[in-house]
Amino acid sequence: MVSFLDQLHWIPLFPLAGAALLMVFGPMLEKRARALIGFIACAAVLLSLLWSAGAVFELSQSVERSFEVVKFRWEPGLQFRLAGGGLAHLRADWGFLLDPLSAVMILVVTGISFLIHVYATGYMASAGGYYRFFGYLNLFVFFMLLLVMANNYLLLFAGWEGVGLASYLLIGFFFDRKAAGDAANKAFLTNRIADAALILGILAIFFTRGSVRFLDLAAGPWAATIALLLLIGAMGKSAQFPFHVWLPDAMEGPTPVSALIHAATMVTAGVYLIARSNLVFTASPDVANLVALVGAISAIFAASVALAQDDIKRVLAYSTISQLGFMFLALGVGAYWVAIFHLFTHAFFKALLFLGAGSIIHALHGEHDLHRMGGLFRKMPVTHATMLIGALALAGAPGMAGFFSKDEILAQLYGTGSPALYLIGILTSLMTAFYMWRLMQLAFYAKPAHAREVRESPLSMTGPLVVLAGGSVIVGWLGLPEAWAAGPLFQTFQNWLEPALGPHQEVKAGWLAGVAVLVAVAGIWLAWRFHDRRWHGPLANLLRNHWYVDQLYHTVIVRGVAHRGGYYLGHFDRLVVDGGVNGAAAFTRGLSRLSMFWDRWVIDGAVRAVGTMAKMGSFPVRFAQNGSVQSYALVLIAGLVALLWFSFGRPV
Amino acid sequence: MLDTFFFYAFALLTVAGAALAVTMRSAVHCAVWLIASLLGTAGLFLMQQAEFLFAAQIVLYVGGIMVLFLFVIMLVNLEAAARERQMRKRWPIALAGVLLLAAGLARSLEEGIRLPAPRPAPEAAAGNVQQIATVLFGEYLLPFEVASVLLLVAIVGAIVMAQREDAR
Amino acid sequence: MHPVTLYHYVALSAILLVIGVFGVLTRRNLVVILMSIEIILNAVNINLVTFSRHYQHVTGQVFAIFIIAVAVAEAAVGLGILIALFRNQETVQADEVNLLKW
Repeated sequence: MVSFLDQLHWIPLFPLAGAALLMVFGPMLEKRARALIGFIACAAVLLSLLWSAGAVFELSQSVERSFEVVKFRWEPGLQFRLAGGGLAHLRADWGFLLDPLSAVMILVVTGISFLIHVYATGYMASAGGYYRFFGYLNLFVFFMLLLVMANNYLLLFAGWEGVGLASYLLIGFFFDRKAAGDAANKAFLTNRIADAALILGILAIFFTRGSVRFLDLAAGPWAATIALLLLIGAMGKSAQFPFHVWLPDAMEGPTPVSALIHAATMVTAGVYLIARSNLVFTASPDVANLVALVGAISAIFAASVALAQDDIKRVLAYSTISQLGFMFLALGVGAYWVAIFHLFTHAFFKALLFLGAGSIIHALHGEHDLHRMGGLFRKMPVTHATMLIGALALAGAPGMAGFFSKDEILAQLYGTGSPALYLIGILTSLMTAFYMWRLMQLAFYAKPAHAREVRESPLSMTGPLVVLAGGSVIVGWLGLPEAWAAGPLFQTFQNWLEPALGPHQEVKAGWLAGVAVLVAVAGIWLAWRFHDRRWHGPLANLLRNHWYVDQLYHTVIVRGVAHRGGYYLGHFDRLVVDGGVNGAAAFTRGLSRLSMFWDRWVIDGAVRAVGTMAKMGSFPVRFAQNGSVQSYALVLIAGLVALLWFSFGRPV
Repeated sequence: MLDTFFFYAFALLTVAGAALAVTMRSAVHCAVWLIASLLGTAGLFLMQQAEFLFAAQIVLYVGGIMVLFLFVIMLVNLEAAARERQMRKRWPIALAGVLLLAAGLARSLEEGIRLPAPRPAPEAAAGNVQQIATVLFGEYLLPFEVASVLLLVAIVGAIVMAQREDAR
Repeated sequence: MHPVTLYHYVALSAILLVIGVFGVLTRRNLVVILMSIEIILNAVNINLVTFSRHYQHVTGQVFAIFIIAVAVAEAAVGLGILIALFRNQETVQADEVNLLKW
């Protein structure tokens, strides 16, 4: 009798084997046996799903709720002096940990991945590079499993970077489109910044605690620093403000990729990381508050942007950022299990919505613009029915998965957080209901804005939709508050996660659910009433351009770093000196045309002013990027000199 | 006494060769001086009873790498390059960096090198080549194999890089 | 004359390192830059052999062999790149090759 639990390490190895097979034999199979490629990929993930299910079942039967398998132990001879004074080896184990938290994660990852793999066999049927796509997809599943199953931060980091790589490869899958390549680069580079913080955080953990194992983690010294660094790392991967810019652009990738990586699994890695490190976050309330603040800003900011987007996938992308913000809110107020609960339900309905959107895009031959859809209600009955469930779940209609998890977050905000956070949550819910219903109206119920023959997608695509729709209804019932329905089944979630994340507290305020329902209904009503309006004016522009954050980054960072010095002196002249003169003139004229003035000068002007400051600020730094290898070598030597100078005479 | 004399002779050859190799105008002259410097180093190896490295230095470095260099110098037309400026425009900055490095090294040397006392020489030790072989093919077998793979990759890489486009 | 000690060898190696670094940083001709790198590697080898002698253990010499192997690989690939560069850009001056920026 094979024990799944003892052989835990097989779970990530199946997708790895699948990826290797596809990469080696894929080119051969591409022409002759395309079906086999899809079969290998799906089978690899299915095996790992079954294995995970077996392992989780065995875990639930055992008394010990945390199970560690260390396959290889690598312990280099070098010892490091710790901050506390002791010496320690930096141990890097190839080891896996299955506890309630990682159990939830592997079930989500393998389960959703399997459905999306099946879906992709239909969606990508006519695309080139079939084996490449599935090879990357399997590779992603491997790294994601590595990330959530690792028993130490180093292996987690390996998985973390691996999913980043897979994400990069898949966003840029259609590499003949420049936008796709640019988006892939943007995602990769944005994540690099955050990942630098993460690796510093991991080093800080090692140098203060002498071990990077999860089970050795304790509150201890430097908790706030570590928590802050981990938070920045998590913000990058989970696309939280101000690192969110990569996620909407990542929609350039194929839709199954958006569903899997950029909605259901990879972007939740940040939430997982914080939940996994909950001890250090609980020990530093300031940073925990910061987590909540980041979550609140991301939630309301992204929801407001989603109101005005016309690209169906971008609506969903901003919605993902917003929902991840909700999870961060829950993490910030210490309700870790609620965050994981929302992660779990969100994985179902957001994957469903993305796949549904993919089904529409597929049927309309690549049309992304909501205003050019409409009338799909009758022509795509399965897609419509399933997406309706997904939209209701996200909007928070009673009985759906999203209702329970979001309501629980709102209740926790009300109970433990500040009223301001609760208000932001409610406001975001309102906007969520609005943009979701606007999407449904425009795509399905509005008058058709196209003259195409539309057919329902094949079974390989609708099948996963139906399964996910079922999940979007059911899974919410696993985490009900005790006040509503007590019973072992209804509290499965909180009881299951208790050993890993600490005891759960219930907020007793029944009217909160009523408010949530009212808000959802109000949002839907507003959307039904106003969906066909095209908004104009400064606010609409602000939202449509995502608060100009991307433009700001482009001006400050991309151009600030990239451009050359001489050019700037001229530019400075034109912008600041002439700009001042023009500005004065425009001001006298502009009093009569205030609304236009606002748009053109205050917003753009602020952007340019910040940009100009950055240009001046980057004055000496810019010259470092001159492309001459020898200048870089000089910097290297400077580092060597500094090392020689400062480290000399000290015992190593 | 003779040891000291030879040390200074070889050291002079090495340092002067290196100094001329980085300052001569023509790349061919640079290469020739570098060969002199490498030969001096080989002599230093011999004085330290590293006979195998002495041979390897001459055969590999002087016979292999430097011939490769000369070959490339002949292949690439360097006459234009020899007539141009030899130093980068901002070489004083680089010089400052180099001087700082030299000062740092000098300071470290001045502090002296504190090392554990050398172990007594093993009795009736095997010859140098045999010793190296024992260690290289015993303890360092895997790195040795990896190095061979590296060389293979380098060969393929060099061929691919230097190949003409139309030859593919 | 003083007897030759470890100190002398290490000082010699430091001098070679400085010369090599000077060459890498200041010369424009890429061939000479590659040669300067060889000088730096040679300085390392002298150090290794010296300490190998000091400790009466050949591990240092084994590492010197590895360094020679890496130097061969580096020279082969470096010169290959140089030839490709010369073919495409008609130059071997380091400061005229600055495409890799931004």
